[in-house]
Amino acid sequence: MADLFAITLVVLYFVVSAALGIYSRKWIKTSEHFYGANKLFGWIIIGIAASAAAVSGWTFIGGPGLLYMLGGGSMWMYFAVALCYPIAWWVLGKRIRLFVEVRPVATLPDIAAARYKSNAVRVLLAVGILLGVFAYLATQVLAGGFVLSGLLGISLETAIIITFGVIIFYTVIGGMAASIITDFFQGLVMLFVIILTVILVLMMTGGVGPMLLTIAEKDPSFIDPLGKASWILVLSWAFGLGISVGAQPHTVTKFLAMRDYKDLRPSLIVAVLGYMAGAIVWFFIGYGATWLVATGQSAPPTRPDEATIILLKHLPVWSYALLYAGALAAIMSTSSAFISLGVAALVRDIPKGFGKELGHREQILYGRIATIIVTVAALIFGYYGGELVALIGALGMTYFGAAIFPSLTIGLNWKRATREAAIVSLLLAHILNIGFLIWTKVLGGKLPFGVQTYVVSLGVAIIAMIIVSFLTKSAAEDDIDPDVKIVMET
Amino acid sequence: MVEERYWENGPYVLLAIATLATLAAFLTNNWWVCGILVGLDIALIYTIVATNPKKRGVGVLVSLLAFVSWSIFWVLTTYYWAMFKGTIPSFMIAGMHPGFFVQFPVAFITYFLISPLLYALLFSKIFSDEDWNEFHRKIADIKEEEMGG
Repeated sequence: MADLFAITLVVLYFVVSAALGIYSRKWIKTSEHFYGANKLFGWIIIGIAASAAAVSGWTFIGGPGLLYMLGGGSMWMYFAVALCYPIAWWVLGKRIRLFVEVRPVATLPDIAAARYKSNAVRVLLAVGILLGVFAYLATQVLAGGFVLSGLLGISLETAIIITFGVIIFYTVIGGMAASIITDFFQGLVMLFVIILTVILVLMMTGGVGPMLLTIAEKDPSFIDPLGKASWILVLSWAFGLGISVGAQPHTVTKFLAMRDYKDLRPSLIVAVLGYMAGAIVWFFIGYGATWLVATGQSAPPTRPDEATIILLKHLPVWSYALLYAGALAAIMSTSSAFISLGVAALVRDIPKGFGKELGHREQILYGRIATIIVTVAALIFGYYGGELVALIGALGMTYFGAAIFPSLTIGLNWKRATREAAIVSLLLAHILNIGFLIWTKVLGGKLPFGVQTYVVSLGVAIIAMIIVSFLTKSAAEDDIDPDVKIVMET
Repeated sequence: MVEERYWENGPYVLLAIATLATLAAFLTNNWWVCGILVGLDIALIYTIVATNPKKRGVGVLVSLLAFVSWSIFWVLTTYYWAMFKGTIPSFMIAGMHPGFFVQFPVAFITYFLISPLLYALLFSKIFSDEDWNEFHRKIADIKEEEMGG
């Protein structure tokens, strides 16, 4: 059973998260507040919330595990993503923030529908977001459960119910507004934990140099920039994940929530620093665990994912609980952002796409009910789905990239982009992502040289968007609504 | 006029061509060329900023800096990787393999200076008060026209 410090920490953490959720209720005046938190927050909250939503449990658990398995090459995944993260601000931030001034938009499908004057685009994009959200959420279920059960010594099932019960509680109350304000708090917790981790690992290993040298004496390739990976694999991450990260809905919807357009400026620096901090914890947990195995202080983990647990066992007892809290914060912040996005797609975007528009009060009421349904469904699937969860989970991030980058990152900037092109690129994103998933995971197919399938999905969707735009005309140039055109020209 | 059309459409045409070339490099295992092309793809996304005539200078600057810095770091990373492949490097930088040092801290700091910091420093050129006021003025004109119509 856990010690008093761990219990106190968890209770405090959950109480503050829930209290922030209750507090956020006062901000919810319209459905746009519930689904988009429109114009509610300043740059510090947006910056930290954006990075907290993007830094998931993977950063604390999966990433260090990958580093233990592949060495320095694993860092390419984080490195490329961090480099491309600012693209969202440079290319999309202004457009999305200006949209809030002219239309009652609260979601990305709202914006896409206004840009292309098309409900087909709205539905295709909403379905893409919903599938990506569900896939990602399901993978967070067991991660959240393992972290809390490890921290408190309770059963996995109880831990899952408590973790996601708290998330449901605050998200039902405040929707996206609650998600952002709790993400902010959870982001602060993560930052504290990251700094603490770096200090502890440096003290344990004697510094970066001695740590890496000890590891290199066992296997020199572990400290070089490729490690056990291949160049094609790390470049697949750079291209597929890098470009996708500039079009992640849990990041770019934060632009809707900015109170002032000037918040774009400092929020990028805050968000990027927060995001880079994730890379640092990945490095130190991953190499810290590898160093423990290399020096014989720990037996090799049975699975790479256990690298974080190996490290935790060798850190001071009091820090154990804090590190787990950091991982829990990462999981919860990402999950709540995804729940809000999925609920918006289900209750607002898809019905609107079929001509069924609900009133503000109905949207909020159904949104609250849908929050419970979506989360419980993800819990059941995440817990009982077995291998299917990992299979679907692979869709997550890159599904968003192939669906959102062509239709919105390109479409909101390029007046030549047409409705037909958006529909074709979205259809291709769906067909290729799901088709490749079945081909690789069910039929055992694979692309040559370790090329990741999402590289092809994203690349084809981008090329299709551009070529089809040159061949078609609707919702482009003079066929764009005047207010939308001004948004695109500013 | 013709030139403006090139600016409006050019980055997207180049992005499509570069993406196609990148896919070809991936699927034929031309990993070194692929590395350069990935940097080019990322830089071309930044050129989207340059499609707006008022933001052209900033867009071109950030794209060029992004591509040049990516290329330098890619060349150095792969150079040091090949030099010390399978061995402990004869020298370390800040306790790290020289290739890893270039790939990780140096590239992180360089890109941080180029992208987020440049965005903050040049924000008044990317999204000025004048842009904001003009935007609202134009929207008000449209609304007025609609009311009148």
